[in-house]
Amino acid sequence: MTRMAFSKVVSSLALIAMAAFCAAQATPEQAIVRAIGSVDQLCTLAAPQVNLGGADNIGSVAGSTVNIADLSDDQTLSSRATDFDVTFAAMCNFDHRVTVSSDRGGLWHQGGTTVPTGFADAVPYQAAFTWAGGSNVLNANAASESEVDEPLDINRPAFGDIVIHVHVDQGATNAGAGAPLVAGTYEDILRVTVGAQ
Amino acid sequence: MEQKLLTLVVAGGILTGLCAAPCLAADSATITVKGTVGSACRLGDLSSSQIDLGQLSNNTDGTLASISGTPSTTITGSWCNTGSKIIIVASPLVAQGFAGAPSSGFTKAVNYTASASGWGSAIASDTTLGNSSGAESTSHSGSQTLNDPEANAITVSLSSFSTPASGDRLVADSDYEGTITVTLATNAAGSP
Repeated sequence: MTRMAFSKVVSSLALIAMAAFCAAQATPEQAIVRAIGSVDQLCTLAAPQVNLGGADNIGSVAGSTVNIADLSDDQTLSSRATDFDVTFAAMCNFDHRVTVSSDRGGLWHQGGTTVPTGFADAVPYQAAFTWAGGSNVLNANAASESEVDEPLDINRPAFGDIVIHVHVDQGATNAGAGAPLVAGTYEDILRVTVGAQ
Repeated sequence: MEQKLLTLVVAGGILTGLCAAPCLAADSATITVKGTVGSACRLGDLSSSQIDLGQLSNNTDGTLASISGTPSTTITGSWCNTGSKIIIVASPLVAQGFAGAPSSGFTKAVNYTASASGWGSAIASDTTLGNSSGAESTSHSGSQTLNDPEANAITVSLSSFSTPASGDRLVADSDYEGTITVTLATNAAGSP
């Protein structure tokens, strides 16, 4: 073997080694990191705000209590027309249901007063409500003293105001139109619930 | 590589010895041994392949919560034996289970800035640009180059979380997810 032969061997090995390093250089290295998180289902509901502008026959508002000025008409002793709006700022971040409920199904007389024939001890009313482009009407018709509910399903997240318009017809009673009301205090609780369907 | 070069040196010695006695009294042979080291980069191992941010919204109004601390993970054992370039590309956190576009005022995406630090003094960072549906209309990335070889840990951290529009509420979803891709490559222009 001559020096020339050596030189050829060395040269050929060096070329092979360089080719191998060139291949490694061409491949960038990558790492992938996942960032994860979650958002819980959430509904919020603020305290009610009674809108006195445009209201009819409203005496005062104290917190969450709306006092009707005169539930009965001085001449007929039957119910007077009454209107007011109440809004609840609300938000739900998922498909949800809004339910408006009347605890007693009408404005019922408080206490165990005997109701003479021809007199009435309850006043029916309607609570029409709108929310997130949908609407429904709760009819608290005072047919019996029991809870009534009306749901409204919204199949998307929503936020804004739930607006409830409460209306009492002139002369509406549970003893027929225009029946006189027995004296006393009449009361109901209107309840708004937002949550899962 | 080292084994091949050693073989050549030994073979050279044997031939010199064989030729010295029967041939000329004084002779010499030289062998030039050469080697090369190619340019290469290696990304090490992730301490964790995911960064869990937990609950993203606050429970008072459903808007983006304040993410405490600086969530991060570390890539240890990385090196480049020449100049290098580190590139980071992030995608928004998007609700995986929420179909369609969210309602007005809501978002199914959270944007953030992802940073790769520790590789030289500069930081490569990238900020996501998702809209309320999580789509991005422009591509983006962050990078920085290093002229010298480097061997170090790389910290990938997330910060500056935001919603596409200020005050957006986040839709409920148990799985918000985004990805951060870190690429380390040789940089010929910066090679010593």
